[in-house]
Parts: sequence; structure tokens; C-alpha cells
Amino acid sequence: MEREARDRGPSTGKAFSAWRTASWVALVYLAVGLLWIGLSDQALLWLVDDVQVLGWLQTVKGFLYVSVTAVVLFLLLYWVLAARDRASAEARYLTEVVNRSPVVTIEWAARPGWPVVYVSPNVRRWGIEPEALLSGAADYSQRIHPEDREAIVEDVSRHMERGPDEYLQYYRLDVGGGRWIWVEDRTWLERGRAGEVRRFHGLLMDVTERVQAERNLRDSEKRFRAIFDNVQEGILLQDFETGAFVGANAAALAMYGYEREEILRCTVTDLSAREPGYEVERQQVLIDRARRGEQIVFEWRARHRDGHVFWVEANLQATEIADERLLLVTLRNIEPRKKAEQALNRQMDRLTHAERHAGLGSWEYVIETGQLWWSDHLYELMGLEPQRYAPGLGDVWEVQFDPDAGDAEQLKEVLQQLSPGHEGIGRRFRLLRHPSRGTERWFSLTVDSVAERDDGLHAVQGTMLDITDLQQAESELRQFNAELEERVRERTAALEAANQELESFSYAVSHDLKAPLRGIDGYSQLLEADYVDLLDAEGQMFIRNIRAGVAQMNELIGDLLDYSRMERRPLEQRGVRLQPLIEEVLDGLDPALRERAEVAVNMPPDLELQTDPDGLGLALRNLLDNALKFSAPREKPRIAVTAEPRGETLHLAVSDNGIGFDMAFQERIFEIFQRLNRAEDYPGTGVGLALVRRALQRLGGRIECEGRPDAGATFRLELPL
Amino acid sequence: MSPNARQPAILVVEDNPVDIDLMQRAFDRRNLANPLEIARDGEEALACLQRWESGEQEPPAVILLDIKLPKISGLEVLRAVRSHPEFGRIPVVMLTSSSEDRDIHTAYDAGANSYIVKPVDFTKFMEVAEHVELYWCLLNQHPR
Repeated sequence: MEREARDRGPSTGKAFSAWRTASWVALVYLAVGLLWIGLSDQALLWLVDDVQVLGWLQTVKGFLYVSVTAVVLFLLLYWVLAARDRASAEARYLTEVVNRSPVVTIEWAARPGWPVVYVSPNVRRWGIEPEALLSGAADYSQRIHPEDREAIVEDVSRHMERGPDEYLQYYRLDVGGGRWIWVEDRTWLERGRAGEVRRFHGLLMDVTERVQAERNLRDSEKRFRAIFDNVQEGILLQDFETGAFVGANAAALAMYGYEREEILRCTVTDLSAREPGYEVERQQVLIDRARRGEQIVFEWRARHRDGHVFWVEANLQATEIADERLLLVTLRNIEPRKKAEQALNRQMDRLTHAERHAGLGSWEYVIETGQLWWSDHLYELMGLEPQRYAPGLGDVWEVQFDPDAGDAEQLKEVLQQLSPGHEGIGRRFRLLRHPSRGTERWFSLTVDSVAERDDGLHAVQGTMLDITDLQQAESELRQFNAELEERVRERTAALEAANQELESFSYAVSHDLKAPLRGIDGYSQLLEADYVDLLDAEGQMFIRNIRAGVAQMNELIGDLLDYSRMERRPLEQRGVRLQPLIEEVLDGLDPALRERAEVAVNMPPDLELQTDPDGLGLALRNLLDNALKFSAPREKPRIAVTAEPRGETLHLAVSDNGIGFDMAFQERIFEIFQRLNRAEDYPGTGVGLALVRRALQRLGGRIECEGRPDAGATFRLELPL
Repeated sequence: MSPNARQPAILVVEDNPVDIDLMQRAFDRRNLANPLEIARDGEEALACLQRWESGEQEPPAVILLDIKLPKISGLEVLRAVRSHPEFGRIPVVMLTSSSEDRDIHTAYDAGANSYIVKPVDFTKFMEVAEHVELYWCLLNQHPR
């Protein structure tokens, strides 16, 4: 080590100087010695003439010179050697110091790549052998971390060109084995006479730990700042002594609408609403309590920079930051919550009022806890006080409702079987208040489906309605209904009896009337056949008139029978195609009349309706028969039948160009036995249109007619399709 | 066609004397050979059954039966005939004023062989008499 230090120590001008000094000493000695010999010999020659004395003196003088020079030489050598020993000891000491120092001394040549020409052995502490650096195989710059290298090279170039010649650099250095250390490099430049850089001298120190610590600190600060500025809550830091704010996060700034510098100039008063009940003095009391170490949470009216007031929840806590005791104020804007609370309160008020007005109570039962909650009005309904009675499922049945009346038992079972996912009970339960609870009151109770609440518990809700009045009304109504039903039954029976009587009456009338008619007709015919000789023309006419009367009477009885039969016949309901039915009816009419008339049927060929075919056939037969009959006097009787569906209704019209009628009789022509024409002109009983109208009524349809005397008639029918 | 005593009789069950008389006359006018036996109500009709049983009287070729009869109705007479072990197959033609579906259905259900509504017109009445005689006494094969 010493050898290295001596051989490869940093080069100085000392060796050159020692040679020069020694040369000078030798020359001076030579000059002084020569001068002494010359001068002293001449002086002796001049002073002493005696050769013997001169010889003796010469000897003494020689002795003296040698003695003096020996003393001088001794002193000189002693001084030099003592100094050298001191320097050597000092060098050893310094070497020791350097080797133990964390600072590595290094020297680079001013050539590209900066080969290392000297490095102190203590570089071994980094795990690098000095030879590895000194061998020059690898450039020093190659050991600098690639990310740092460019900046370092540039920096060095700048210092080489423009100075200053001493500078500090930080970079990561490859110490082998994939390890990197952070190095603080204090470099100074050695320049030649022309100012060119000849050497770099450096002191390197491993600062990895420091850099790491600094970086950790910086990260930690960054994280803290991020948290500080990103929390939803506003944070203010207040100096206990001065009352001034010393810190505010972004949320606090946004909450109050100030810039950071502005808020730091604000006082507590500036940030408060100054409303009655929210005085700054009151807040100061809370701050003082926080100073004593209490954690204080309270709601406060805060003021925004623009003047609007809002609710905050403040959390005060004393804290110590950088040896300073500060008040940490955490603020949460609870304006939305307050608004929601107010809205909820209003809603609750309304609900309470609504319940009271409706006579309705509501309840909730939590399955997991077995807790039963009643609304205020439910307590009122039950005649109980919320302060004195806590409802429980068990005692409700025993105490509140009469187990012997209403659905109490069933409801009890239902509620005991409730479980999450239960679908609710579709029915209402009728409950009678327990007789011991006062006057008789009836309630109707609903049970909703089980629902999961936001706290994860499962609850079922329901309502209870006071239905005493309703119950009473219902009971009256039931009684009334029963009476009514009884009356209806009686009436129906009476009506059925009357119907029955009417039926047998019309049946009997029709048939029993026929028997004498048959006699009249039979005997008048026999009379005409057997006694024609005894009768004159008038007598024969009488007989003919008798027989015509019988025929008419017979027809009348037949129509009456049709009418009464239609009333009694049960209705059939099936799909009936209209066109074939009309054709069938037309075919059944008096062929003589039918052949003369021009009948136009105009309707969709597949038109179909749901109806009673016989009833409709009867109506159509009578209408078409009438049309033929009353248009018979025309030279060319024309009959038109049209039908079309409109929505759910079939519109059917039968019109003719016959004798028509006066609209004054529009209604009367549908009445039974009502005739508008003389029987001898238009035979008929006056039952036909009555039959038609009655048939249509039974089919759920209606009929109207219009006509003008001598200008035809139109009958319009409407029937459900 | 001359009257023939051996022709089987036609039993007319009818309470109305006018109808009975007209029936007689209709048969006369149309020269119908079969003799008419008359029962004036249900009881008389049932009495006929007993006479047939005793052999006192021959059973008729056909019974013309009115529905509306005093005491025992025509339908009851019909059921009595139909339930009779010996004379249950005698043809019964309902001859009545009623054209009610209900009467027609009941009559057929009770075993009537035919149902004719009595016409008011005497000419038609005579035609009915003639056709009944022709069909039920001449054409129809009688059950033995």
C-alpha cells in the first residue's frame, strides 16, 4: 500500500525541487570550499613566511575546515532526515485515514471515456477491486447508470469548456454484481498552462442511503399531499395561539370557494354563518375543549365566499405537526343530507297526517329481530300510548285482538311463518279489537311481501285500517241484499208463475180458438156443398164471407202463436252467414210476388255474424214479405237488401219502392195489431213488424224505419256481429 | 170403394164433438171404408184397451189421438198403449191443434208414429183424413 501510495501517489513538483535544492547545496559548498581554500592559503602566505609554521597552520586550517563542514553537514542531514521521517509518518497516517474514509479518491485522465489513473484502495468497500478500475479495460463512463450517463457527460463537457472547475454530481454507479450505488462526485479539474484539462480529481462518496431516504421522504410527502387534497372532507389546520389558518386542502377550498392564499388570511368568523345559535363564541368554546385533547364533532352553519350558507359537520382534534400543536378541523358538507332529512321529515309529517285522515295505521315487522314497529296513528287506533306500550308480536294477539272474532288466529299463523322471499298475503284480515280495550272496533289488516331492507334485515310491512263503519255498512248492506234477494226470488217466482199462466193462456187461446173455427169452416163448407141449391146469391156470399173471416182469424191465431212462441223459444248463438240466409228466406216467400220483383242483394259474400239464426230468419222473412207485399202494386217492384259491418255492428237495410208510409206513424207500425192499410188491400194481421222488432230486441239489435207515402220504405237494422 | 165390415177400425180419441162429427163427415165425403171408433176422452180410450184384451173388440189399425183431453191427457194414453205388452206396437198418430215444438217432441219421445196438426180449413181437413186412411190402413204394414 505504501509503495503504491509512493509510486502512484498523486504527482507533484517535489522530486524535481529536491534535486534542484541538493544541486544548489553542492554548488554552494563547492564555491565556499574553493573560495576558502584559495583565500585562506593566500592569506597565510601573506601573513606567514615561515614554511614550517605555514605547514602547521595549513594543517590546522585543514582540520578546522573539515570540522566546520562536518558540523554543517551533520546539521543539514539531520534536518532533512527528520523532516523526511515526519512526512513519511504523516503520509502513513493520511493513507490510513483515506482507507478508512467513506470518501474514495479518484483521478481520471482527460481522455474520452475517462480512464481511471488513480483510485484510493478504499474503493474496495464498494466491492470493486482498484485493479478493475485501473486496468483501463472499461471506461469509467460505462460504469455510470445509462439513465444518468448522458446528463453527466454533458455536465462534464460544460465544466471543461466554461468552468467552474469544481463541481458536484450525483449519479448511479455500477459496482458489479448487478448492484448500483448512488455516488456523490466532487470533482475538480487540473488544467495545463494553456488552460487545457490535464486531469480530473474526484472525491466519491456512496450516498445511496441518503438518496433513498430523501426519495422516501419526497414520496411520503407526495402521498400525504395527495391524500390531503383528495379526501372528500375539507381539512383546515389552525394555529391554536394565533387562531390563523395555516393549511387548507383542496376540498376545503372548494367547499368555501376561496383560493389557498385567501383562506389562509380568513378567520373563523369569515367562514361562519353568524346566525343566532351559531355564534363564534360558541364555536370558540368547542375549540378550547379540542385544545384540551377532546375530540369534538358538531354540526355548524358555514358560509361560502359568495355569501350562501350551508351545513357542515365539523370534527375538531388537536394534533401535532412538525413540533407545532395545531387544530385539525375536518369538515364535511352535509347540506344534501340536511335537505334530505328535512324532506324526510316533511314526508313523515305528511304521512302521519294522511294516516290520521285516512284512519290508517301502518306497521313493520323485522323477521330476524322479531321487532314490531307501529306508526303513531296505529297506537291511536288501538287506544295506546307509544311511550307506554312497546308492541311485540306475541302479546299483540293475546292482548290487542279478540281471538274469538275475526281472523286473529289465521293472521298469527301467517306472521309466524314469514320468511325472506315470502310473497305477501293477497287477502285482508279482519280483526276485532279486544273487548278489554274499549268499544268494539273492526280493523282490516294487509300483509305485504317480505322485503330486504338496506340494513340487510328482512321486514314485512302492512297497514291497518279502521273499518268499523264499513263493517257496519256492510252488515247492513248484506241484510239489505238478503232482503232484496228474497224479494227478487218472490218476484221471480211470481213472474214465472205469471209467465207460465200467460203461456198456457196463449196456448189455450190459440188452440181452443182453432177448434170452433174448424167447426165454422167445416160446416159452412158443408152447407155450401150440400145446400147450395137452397141459397140465393146473397146467401152464398154470406157463406164465402164466413169462410174468409175464418181464414183471417186462422191467420191471426197463427201469427199470435208465432209471436208467443218466439218469446218462449230459447235463443241459439252461432255463426250465421248472412247471404245464404237471405237467399233461403227469399226462396220461401210467395213465388207469385217474388217472381215479379227485382231483388238486389248487396253485401260481402262471406259476411258472417254471431246470432240466433231462427230469430234473424223470422225478422228477415217478415221484412222481405212486407217489402214484396207493399211494392206489389208497382209495375216493377224493386227491393234492395244491403249489409255491411261497421266496427262491432252489422248494418242491414231492406228498402222497397212500394207504397211507403207517413213518418208520423214511424213508431206505431211496430206495435202489434197495428195496421196502416185496409185489410182487403193488403192482407195481414198487423203482427209482422211487432214480431220483427221483438226478434231484434231479443238478438240485442234495433230497428228503425223511414218512408214517405207512395215513395217506398226502408227498414234499417243494427245487430251485434 | 164399398164399405167393408171387415176393414180394421180407426180409433179416434177426441173430446170435441164438432171435430168428431167433422171427422165422420170427412170420412164419409171421401168414401173411406174403415169404420171409426170414437173414444171421447182418455178414460174411454183406456177402456178400449181392456176390450181388446178381452177379445170383445178387435184392436184398430191406427189410433188418431188428440193431446188435449179431459181427465187423462192424450200423452198419458199414448204411454199406456206403448207400455201395453200386447198392443204396444199399434201405430199412434197424434192429431191435434197444437203446433208447439214442445208437444211434438214429447209426443215422439213417448212413442208417437206420426204428428199431424188439425187444419182449420175443412178441405184440408178432409185431405188429412184421406191421407191418414190411405197410409195407415192401406199402405202401412201392421204389426202382428
